[in-house]
Amino acid sequence: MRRKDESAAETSTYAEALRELTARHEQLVIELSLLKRLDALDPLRTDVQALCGEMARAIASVLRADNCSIMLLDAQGQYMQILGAASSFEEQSPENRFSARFSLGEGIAGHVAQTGAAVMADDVQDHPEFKPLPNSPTPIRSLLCFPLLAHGSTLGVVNVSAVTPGYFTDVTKQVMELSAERIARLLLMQHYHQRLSQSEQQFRQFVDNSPEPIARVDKEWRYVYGNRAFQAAVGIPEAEVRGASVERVKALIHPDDLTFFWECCETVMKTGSIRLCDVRYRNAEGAWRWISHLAYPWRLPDGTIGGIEAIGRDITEQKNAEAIIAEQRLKLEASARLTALGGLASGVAHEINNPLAIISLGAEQLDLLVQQTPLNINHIHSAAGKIRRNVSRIERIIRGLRTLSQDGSKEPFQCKKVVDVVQEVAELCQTRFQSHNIDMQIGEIPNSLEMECRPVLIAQVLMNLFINAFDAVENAPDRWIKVECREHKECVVIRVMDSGPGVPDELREHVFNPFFTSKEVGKGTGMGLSISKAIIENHHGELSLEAESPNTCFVMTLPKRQPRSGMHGDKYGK
Amino acid sequence: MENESPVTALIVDDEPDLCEMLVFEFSARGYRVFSASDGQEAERILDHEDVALLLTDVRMPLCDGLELLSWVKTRNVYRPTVILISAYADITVEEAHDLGAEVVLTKPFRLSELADIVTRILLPPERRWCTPPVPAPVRACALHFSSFESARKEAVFDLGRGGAAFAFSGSTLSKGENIRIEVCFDEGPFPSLHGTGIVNWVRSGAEPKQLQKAGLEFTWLSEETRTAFLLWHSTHAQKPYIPSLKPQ
Repeated sequence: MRRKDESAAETSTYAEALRELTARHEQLVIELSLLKRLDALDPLRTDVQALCGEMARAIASVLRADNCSIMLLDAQGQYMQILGAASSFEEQSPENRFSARFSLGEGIAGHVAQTGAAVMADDVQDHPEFKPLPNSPTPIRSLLCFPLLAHGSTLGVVNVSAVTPGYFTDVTKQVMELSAERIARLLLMQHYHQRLSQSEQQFRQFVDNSPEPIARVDKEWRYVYGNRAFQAAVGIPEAEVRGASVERVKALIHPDDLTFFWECCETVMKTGSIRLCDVRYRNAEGAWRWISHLAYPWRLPDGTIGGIEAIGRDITEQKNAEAIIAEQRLKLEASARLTALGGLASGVAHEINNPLAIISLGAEQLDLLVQQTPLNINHIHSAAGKIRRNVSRIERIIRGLRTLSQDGSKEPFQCKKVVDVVQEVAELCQTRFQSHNIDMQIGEIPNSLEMECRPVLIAQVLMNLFINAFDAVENAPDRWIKVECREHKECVVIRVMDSGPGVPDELREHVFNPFFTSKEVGKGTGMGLSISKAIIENHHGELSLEAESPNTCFVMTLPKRQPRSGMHGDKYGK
Repeated sequence: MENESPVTALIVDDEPDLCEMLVFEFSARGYRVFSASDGQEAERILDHEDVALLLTDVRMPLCDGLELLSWVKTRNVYRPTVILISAYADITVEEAHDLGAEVVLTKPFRLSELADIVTRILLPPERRWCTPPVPAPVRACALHFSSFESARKEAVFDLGRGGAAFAFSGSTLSKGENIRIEVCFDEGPFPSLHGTGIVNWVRSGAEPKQLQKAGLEFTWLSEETRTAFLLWHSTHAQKPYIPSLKPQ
C-alpha cells in the first residue's frame, strides 16, 4: 500500500517534472522561434514603420496572439503612436489604429511607458488603467504590455492582446520580456543607422555643394570621389568619376605647369606632406584659368596613405591682380629711383658745376699764364693740378650717377668689394653733406670684404638710407651720419646711423610699409624703405631698424654669398 | 684804373680751388682781394673792410650766399655790388635781382665774361648808361600807362636800381635779347622813359590770358631819362636791382 502511495507520489512528482520540462521546452521553442524571426529582420534596410510592422507580425504569429502592436514615443516624449501592428482580425482598418495615439500616462500603454514597468492583465476589464482603442470593433481581454527600454530611457511599448481572458501563460510572459529587450535593441540600431546615414548625407551634400572642386584619388591615381564643382570643372559626369584616371584631368593642365603639378601630387602621395600648387587649367570655354590646389593625403584605417585629396580654388583674378601689382611695383621702383635722383639732381648739378667752373677757369688761367715771360711754372702746375683734380671729381660723380640710374633688377649678381659700393655712393653725397655741415663718417671697411650682390641695387638702397639720414639731420643741432661695415659670420652687416631725432616708437613698425613717409608733402614718396627692404630681401638679406639704438640706425645684413639654388616658392613644402 | 686807389673785392666760396683762382685773377688785375669760405667769415670781413665788390657762391655751409646778400643789402643797397655765383638754379635770376643782387652768374663761367661784367657793373650809373649799344637793338617795346604809381600797383611796370620789369603781350621776348624800350606815362615822375636794355628774365603768364613779364637790365638811357631816373633814385632807394613785379 505504502509502495503504491509512494509510487503514486513518485508518479505525480515525475508528472510534475515532466510538465515543467515540457513548459520549459515549450518556452524555449517559442523563444527560439521568436528570436529567430526577429533576428531575421534587417533594421538597416527598412524604415522604422516597416520594421515595427514586421516585428508585430512576428510576435503575433509566434505567440498566436490576436493583436500585437508596437507604440513609440515621439521625439518630445509626449505621445505614443502605433508604428507597427498585426491583427488576426483583418477587417480592422489599420489607418484607424495607426492614427490612435496615447499621451504619456494615458491608458495601460501610456502607464507602462511612463513607469517602465510591464503590465500583464488576464482581463483588462478588471484593470483600472485600461482604455480601449477608439473604433476598436473587437474588445480585447488579455493584454501583455512591455516597455521598450534602451539605456534607461523608454522608446515605447509592445502590446500583445487576445480576445479571451487569461489567454497568456507564464511562458508567453517570459518570452515577451525577452522579446521587448530585443525589439528595443533593433529599434535603437535602426535609429542610429538612420541618424548616421542622415549625417553622411549631410556631409556629402556639404562637400557636393562646395563651389570649389574637391576630389579624392586612390593609390592607383584613380578618382574615388569628385564633387559637383569638380565634375563641372573637369567635364567628367558624375557616373564616370569613380574609377576615372587622373590622366583625364592632367590633359587639361597647361603644358608648362604639368611637371610642377605632377611633382606636387607625387610628393604628397609619397611623403604625406601638404602642398599648395598653382597651375593653369583650360576651362570649358578653352580659356586658361589659374587654379590653386591644396593637396593633402587621406589615410587608411591602418594609418597608411590611401591616396590624396585636393581642393581647387580659382585664383585667376588674384593672379591677374598680382601681375598688375608686380608691374606697378616695378614702375614705382623706377619712379622712386628717379625721385631719389631728382632729389639729388640739384645736388649733383651743384657738384658738377663747381668743378666745371674750376676747370674752365683753370684753362683760361693756363692760357694767360703761358703768355707771361718768364713762365711761372709753379702757377701753371697748380692750375693744371686743379684741372686734373676736378676732372676726376666729376668722373666719380658721373660714375655714381650711372650706378644709381641703372635698372639694377636685371643686373647679374657679382662679387663687389663692400668698400667700393659704399664709397661710390658716399662720394655722391659727401659734398652735399659737407655743404650742409653734416659730418659723414665712414668707418674702416676691410679692403678684402666682398659680397655677392647686384651693386646697382645695393647702391640704391644705400643712397636711400643716406638721403633719409640727410633729411633727418638737416635741421638737427648736431649733424652726423655714420656708416659702419663689418663681417659677421657669413654676412656683411652695414649700419647707417644718424644724429637725427630717431624714429618714434609708434612709427617703427610702419617705416617699411609702402607709402609711409614722415617727410613733408612732396619730399618723399614713402616708397624708399619698402623698396629697399624688398631689394635686400631679394638678396636673401635683411633690412631692419635697430630698436635699441638711441639714434636712428638702419641695419642691412647681406650674405656674402648668395644661395646657389635660387628657386622661389615652396612656401608650403617641408 | 691804374691811377685810382685799388678796388676792394671779397670772394666767398667754399670751394678752395675756385676761391684761390679768383683771388689770383683779381689780384693780378690790381684789386685788393679778400676771400672767405662761408657767409659768416664774409660778414666779419665786411664789418671791417669797405668792400666794393662781393662775389659770393650761393650754397655754402653756415651762412649761405642769399643770407649774406640780404645782410649786405639791408646795410646798404648800393655798396658793395653783389655778384651771386650759383652752381645750380637754387635761385632764379628774377629772385636774385629782386633781392638786390646786381649780377647772377652761373657756374661754370668764363673769366673774360666775369671781367667784362665787373668792369661794367662797377661803373657808376651815370657812366654806365651813357653809351648807346652798338649795334642798336632792332626790336622795341612801347608801353603806355596812366601813371607810374598805378602801373606799380597793378604790377605791370616797376623800376629797380638797375632796370625795369614790365608786363607785355603779343610778341615774345627771350632771355639775353637786347631791346629798345619806350614807356609813356600820362603823369608821374617820368613823362617818358627811353632807353635800351638786355632781357635778364622772362616769366610767362600762369594762365593763357595772363600777361607775360620780363626783367630788363638797362644798358643805355636817354639823357633826359637818365637824369629823371637818377633823381628819382636819390629819393627812392630801391633794394631790388630789377624788381620781380609781383602783385602787391
